[in-house]
Amino acid sequence: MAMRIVRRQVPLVLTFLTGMIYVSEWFVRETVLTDMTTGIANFIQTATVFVFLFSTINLTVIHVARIRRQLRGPKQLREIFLSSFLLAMIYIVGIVSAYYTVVRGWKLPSATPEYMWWYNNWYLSSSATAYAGTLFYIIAATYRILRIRSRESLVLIIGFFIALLYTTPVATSYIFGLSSLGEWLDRIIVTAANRAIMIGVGIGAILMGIRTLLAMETGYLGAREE
Amino acid sequence: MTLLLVEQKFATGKGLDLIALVIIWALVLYYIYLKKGEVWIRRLPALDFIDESIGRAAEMGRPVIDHIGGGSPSEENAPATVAGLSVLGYVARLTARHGVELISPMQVQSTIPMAQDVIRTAYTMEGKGDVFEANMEEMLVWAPSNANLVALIQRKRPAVHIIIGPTWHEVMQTLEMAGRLGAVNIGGTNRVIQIPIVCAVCDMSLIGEEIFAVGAYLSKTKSMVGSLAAEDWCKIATMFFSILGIVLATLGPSFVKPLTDLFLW
Repeated sequence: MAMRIVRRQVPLVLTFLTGMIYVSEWFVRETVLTDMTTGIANFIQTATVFVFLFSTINLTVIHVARIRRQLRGPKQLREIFLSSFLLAMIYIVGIVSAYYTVVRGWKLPSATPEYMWWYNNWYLSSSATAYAGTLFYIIAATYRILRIRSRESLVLIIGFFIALLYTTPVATSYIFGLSSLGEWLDRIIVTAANRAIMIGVGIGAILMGIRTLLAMETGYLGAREE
Repeated sequence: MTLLLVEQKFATGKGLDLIALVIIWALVLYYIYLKKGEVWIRRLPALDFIDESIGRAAEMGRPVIDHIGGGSPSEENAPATVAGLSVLGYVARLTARHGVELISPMQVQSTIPMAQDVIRTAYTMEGKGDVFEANMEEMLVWAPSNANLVALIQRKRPAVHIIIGPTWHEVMQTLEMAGRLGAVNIGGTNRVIQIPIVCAVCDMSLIGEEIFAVGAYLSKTKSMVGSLAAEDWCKIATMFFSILGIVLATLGPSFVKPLTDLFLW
């Protein structure tokens, strides 16, 4: 019973009180409320540090357990061994370098030519490759949806071709009215749809906030009891 | 005197905000406590499809990958992150019930403890808390980069891939990779720029505010469902004011001024 109160009721009460303080502070000019929200923000920052610490310990435990299990034998765990082992090595390097730079006050050169070589030739090229992959994925996915399965998809395809041609200078110079039609689609239809979705998202988020304050939305606690 | 004090203490330019908020609260409370949640809600096929697809995963003997995107619980995408965690809890219960392997990669460190609690509770409620404790390190994975996520999907070859929450460009890479490996893709996001991608790549998708209705839809509790009706009334009011604004703006600036002045109150 006591555990249930700590795990379920206390977070809900805290959520409600904190939420109400923030809502009140938005509307009322009162130093006490401003001080309270500043205090809560500071507390959240401190708590976040603890969450990071907890997560780091959690991750370490998980990966050390993986390495130990691999060392004991099951071959199917070999595939994840390397990543866990590498992560453990990075942790060790991180802790050692943090000790020497933060505790002992050593100063590391920030951008040596060697570092810049690694950054330019490894990191940047890897990032560019990943983004290029995304581009091909987008193209593949876009062409896959272009199938006339219903009246709505027919409208989509017509819109797609207009938008596609509108972005090509050759088509806009040869097809009369394409430029203004494309612009109209872009400025009116697409903007209207975007705004409708954004308004819906905004209202949905407000209502979700109210449900959370009223302790109805408890998905973040993992405690939906029936 | 009292009126002057109220005027001094009340922040200017927020009068309309306060009225709107009070009306929304009143609507929510009305539908929860007076109407007792007796409202009809339309089906969300993507969420109904989760049950079916996890059954498919059980038949195929392949895992389910469920992640919530790159949002964290302490920024503007917090509501969508909470929605993603709600889905994760539901999926975890189903995987525990059917004995399907669940993998939940987290991109943001601060969501790991929350996800851990969500999955643990789901497994415990299905009487399989020991399964979670024994497999926690495989179930809950930290995958900060997109390369991690894609490699994980490639290695595990899931039967079902679910991504519901605030998403960035990882959504394209993971969904496409999972699709190529024959997985069923279920996605949903609140981020407008990613919505077309989710719709294009997923077998079933949730658009915009639909992801905020997830908790209510899955729990089917009357109070939660009631609050969705209040949301619909808010949308109707927004539509009304949009049309009113269009009409007044068309008539001329002097007609629309009283409406815009309300925002300065």
